[in-house]
Amino acid sequence: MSVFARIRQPSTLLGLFCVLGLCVIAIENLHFADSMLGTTFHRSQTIWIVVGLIGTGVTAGLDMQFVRRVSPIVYQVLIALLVAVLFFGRDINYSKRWLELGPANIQPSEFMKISIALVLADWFDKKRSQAPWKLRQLLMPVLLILVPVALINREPDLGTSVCVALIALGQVLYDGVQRRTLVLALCVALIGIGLAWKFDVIRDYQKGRAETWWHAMQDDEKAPDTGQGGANRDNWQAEKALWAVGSGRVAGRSDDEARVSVLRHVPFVHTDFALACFAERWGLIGCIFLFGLYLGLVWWALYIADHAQERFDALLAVGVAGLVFWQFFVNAGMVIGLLPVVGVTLPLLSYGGSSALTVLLGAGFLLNISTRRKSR
Amino acid sequence: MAGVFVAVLVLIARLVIVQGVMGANYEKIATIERVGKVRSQAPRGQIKGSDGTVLARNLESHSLELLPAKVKADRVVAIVSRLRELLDMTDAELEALRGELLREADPRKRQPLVVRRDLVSTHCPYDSSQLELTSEVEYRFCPVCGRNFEPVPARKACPFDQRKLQSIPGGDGMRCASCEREFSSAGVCPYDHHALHVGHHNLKCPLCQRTFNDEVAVIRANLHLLPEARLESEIQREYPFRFLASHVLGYVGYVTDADRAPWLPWLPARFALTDRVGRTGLERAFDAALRGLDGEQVVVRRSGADENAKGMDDLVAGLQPRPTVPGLTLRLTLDLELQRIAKVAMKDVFSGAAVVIDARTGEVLALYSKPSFDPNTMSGKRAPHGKTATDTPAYAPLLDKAVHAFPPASTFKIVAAIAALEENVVTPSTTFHCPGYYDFGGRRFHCHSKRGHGDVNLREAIRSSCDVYFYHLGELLGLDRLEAWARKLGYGESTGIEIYEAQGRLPTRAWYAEHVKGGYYPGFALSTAVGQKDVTATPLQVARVYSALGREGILPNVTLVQGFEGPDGKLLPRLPRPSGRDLPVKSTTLRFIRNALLAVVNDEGGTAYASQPTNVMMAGKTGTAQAAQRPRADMVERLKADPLALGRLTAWMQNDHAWFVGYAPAEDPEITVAVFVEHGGSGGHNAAPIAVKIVESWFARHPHVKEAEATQAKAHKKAAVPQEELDETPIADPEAVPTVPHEDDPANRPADEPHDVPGETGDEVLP
Repeated sequence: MSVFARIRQPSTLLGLFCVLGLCVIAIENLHFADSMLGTTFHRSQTIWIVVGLIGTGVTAGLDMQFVRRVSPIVYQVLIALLVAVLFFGRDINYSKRWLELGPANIQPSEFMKISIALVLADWFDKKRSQAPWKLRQLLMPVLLILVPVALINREPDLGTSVCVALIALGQVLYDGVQRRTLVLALCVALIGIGLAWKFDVIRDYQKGRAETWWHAMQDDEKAPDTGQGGANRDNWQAEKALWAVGSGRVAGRSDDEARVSVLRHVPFVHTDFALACFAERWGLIGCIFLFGLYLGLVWWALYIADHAQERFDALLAVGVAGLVFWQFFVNAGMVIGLLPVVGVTLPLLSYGGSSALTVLLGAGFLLNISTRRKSR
Repeated sequence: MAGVFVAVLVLIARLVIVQGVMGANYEKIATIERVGKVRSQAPRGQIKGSDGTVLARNLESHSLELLPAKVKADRVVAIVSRLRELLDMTDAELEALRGELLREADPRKRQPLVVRRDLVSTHCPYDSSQLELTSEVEYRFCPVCGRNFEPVPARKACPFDQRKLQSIPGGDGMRCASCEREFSSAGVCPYDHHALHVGHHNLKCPLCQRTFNDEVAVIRANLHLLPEARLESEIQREYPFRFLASHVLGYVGYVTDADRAPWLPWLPARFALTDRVGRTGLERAFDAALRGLDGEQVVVRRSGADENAKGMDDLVAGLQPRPTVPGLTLRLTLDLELQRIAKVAMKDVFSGAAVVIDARTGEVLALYSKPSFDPNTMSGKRAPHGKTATDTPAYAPLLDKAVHAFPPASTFKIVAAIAALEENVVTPSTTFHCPGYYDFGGRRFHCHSKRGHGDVNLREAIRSSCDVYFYHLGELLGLDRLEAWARKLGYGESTGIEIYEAQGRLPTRAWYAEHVKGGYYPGFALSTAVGQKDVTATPLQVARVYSALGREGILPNVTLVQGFEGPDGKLLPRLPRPSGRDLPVKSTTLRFIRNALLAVVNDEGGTAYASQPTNVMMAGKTGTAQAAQRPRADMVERLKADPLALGRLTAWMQNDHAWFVGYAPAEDPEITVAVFVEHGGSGGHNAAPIAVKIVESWFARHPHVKEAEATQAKAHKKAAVPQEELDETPIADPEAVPTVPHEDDPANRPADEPHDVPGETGDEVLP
């Protein structure tokens, strides 16, 4: 079967449709946001997406053995970059996440998402016979996860670090662990969160967001008033976004209406709150369609994982599925007021070259696995 | 995969809620660009006297501020000279200002610099009466000492009180000795011979006849010359009667962080940063009611396209602002006239207190503590005289001496007397011999009369305040029985007054064992029986106890407040007050005590015989507490530079405390007066006359129906009535005595008079 014949499989076609659909929606959505606010983000994002699609093709054609050889090196380089970012990073919105490389700003933490998936898949595959895993045996993967998570959290970028952890966790769970291990790990995680809260590893603004969200979920009136002009700033962000999403109603609003609406005052409408922009313009119908695209993408990845012949492939596919799903879920939950405000981007839709490139590279790996699997 | 599906379904479900169900609502809200909430501070409630005269109110006050962040170094000289032109500021003030402006500091962190608070605009800073426009009056101002000189009047008499002016020694100027106004038409200051700055006044106070410049108008007209300055205005708490009832009213102060801390951690802060809270007195006790409820105004900014959207106005109307609820107006029981009389009566006293309560209801008619202070200055207002409460710290002006505990001295003797009679320790006819001293436990206890009173019975002992008799009673009763009876009579407990009060101390043997080195010694009972040593009581407590003695043993609950006024000025119904409690004392005992108290004032040989009100019969008891003290170390330190003042203070503190407590009319008391003079000398000579003045003035305004009978009775009693007969004197049933209808009582007058009529205007203006 030729490569093209394999691509014609329904699952692969669906997956590609989802990816390309999201790319198109992303550029269209950014274009609208740009027209509203007079910015030009959609141009550079288009370039990034084109580069990313080329990257998809390249990764689809790569030899997996080569990828597995290179992945630890890439991981180490990324760790080094994460350290470098703490010292030489560019400060945007009080957080050092970006490295200036020539004309582009690179966000190493984004690439770490796919890298951690690769490294973990590699590690588990090499130790293949031992699942389900005991806690003691999981020391190495835990270390592999914790180092980048800690570094990313240091930037500070809680959202991305949580995403990295969730991606890795998804992989570990997919591979299977002892129930005892799972319970133990959960306890450790809970205690860890408690301690982090207590000893200010979790920063005040993050606590504030969590508390606001908690209050907002219970009763709008009880939200703590920080005294800054009446409304809590974090709550204010989320509230504005919610208004925008809500005013889209079922069918969405015309561009002219949306352009002058509350959307103007939704913060980070290019990045974290891109969904608010989309939701106001396309309404419930558009949102369900969009969610369907993400669901399709995740489904494709999990389908590939289920049908992969190699353990590495399966784990990698699960990693990519987690990469898309967790970011999508946390971001969408945040925008529609289900989760606290966390700086997590919506895969592809949010402006950000590194993020788009990561997702598209991930799609490339999926394509690679799906086109290759019958040959062995 | 299933999990992923569920998660996405949850998201979609939420979307359906947000966009489908709630969508219309959000769409509406979203059309409003910004909804801001602006707090509007509720005006603080007024405090009024019993006749409706306003004792505390709100006035707008203006201040001139400089914004240091805007001030450039090369403008400082220009600013200072401009301020010199516009406001009467002394060179020292200007120099300080210049220094402050040139100080190196982070301009972003610098607070606005207040050049002057309480700029004169519409109200007189001395008496708060409304100023009137007048033709321009030239005045002179000394830039060095800050004195203001009015032009010398034609007849060389003070334009306010018409007294003859005295010339200022060493200079060309005149001065009024009584009201401290100064006059000069010369070009130089008569004190320091510096050139005077000449200006014009165009406002005149109709009450104190002072002239002022409309500083706010001047500043406002010239603000364009001072772009670095701004005119700020705020609502100030204002007490037009200043020193008159300051301890009752208390004062307000800006909130501190401690005030702002919420009661419970998750509640929002209780106050805004600009709030004021009552710090002392009624302002504190009724702070919540006086403060009212702050409102919230909703400020809506609409986004462009929806400016004319349908339903917009409905939506805005739907955003209910929270209305401001003004603070309630508090109506007091204080009779201002009586308060004023109490103040005047105490004018020769350094320190002390006078309390008048209605013997029937416990309502406080006057409560004056000397020295007083100006609550305006305590509340952050500029003192027009530059004189503040802290100028006379030796006499503790902030301390309300009417509710502060002092040794009650001989006024406490009735406790021993009642206890002894009730416990059948003595009978009224029991006599002890008083040689002028009593030897007990190896110590000699002296009577105030060195020669001794000879053989005295209980009535004579009370009348002449024989200490030796009560030493005997103290020995017979013991300390703990004395304490128990004092408690039954209402000592050592709260009187029920709304402001903070001390409870006084009634020592027991256990108390001595715990608190005094060396423990209890039986002689303490003797000292306690005459109200000395460690027993203390507040003048208010004493007045309450004596009210009960005068009124058939009903101990009233003391109150300062008639109630809150509704919006129509009528009193709102008040929660029922607990009625007074009955003293567990036999009526024969009470009758005997009343008789003895009558003798104190009206019998020859009574300690207050020299002090009888002319228009009513009074009964009472004097007290003189040995209270010689040395000035406190910090006071000595403070007065080190002024040996004369220190000497005065030391001499003053050698004196005894003087007490007098009495009620009138004696047979059916309406009012009870307690006067306490700290280090005032003897009760009969120094406290009783003050009480007499107060009582006389009250009954001059509220004539007693039995006045004629009283005078007769007085004449009758002066002809030495035998003991037995006095004991049998029937005490009029209070129910049977027709109460005087007080038509002329200002309390019953409708409060339709203008409330900004200030009467008494502080110490200085008092003619």
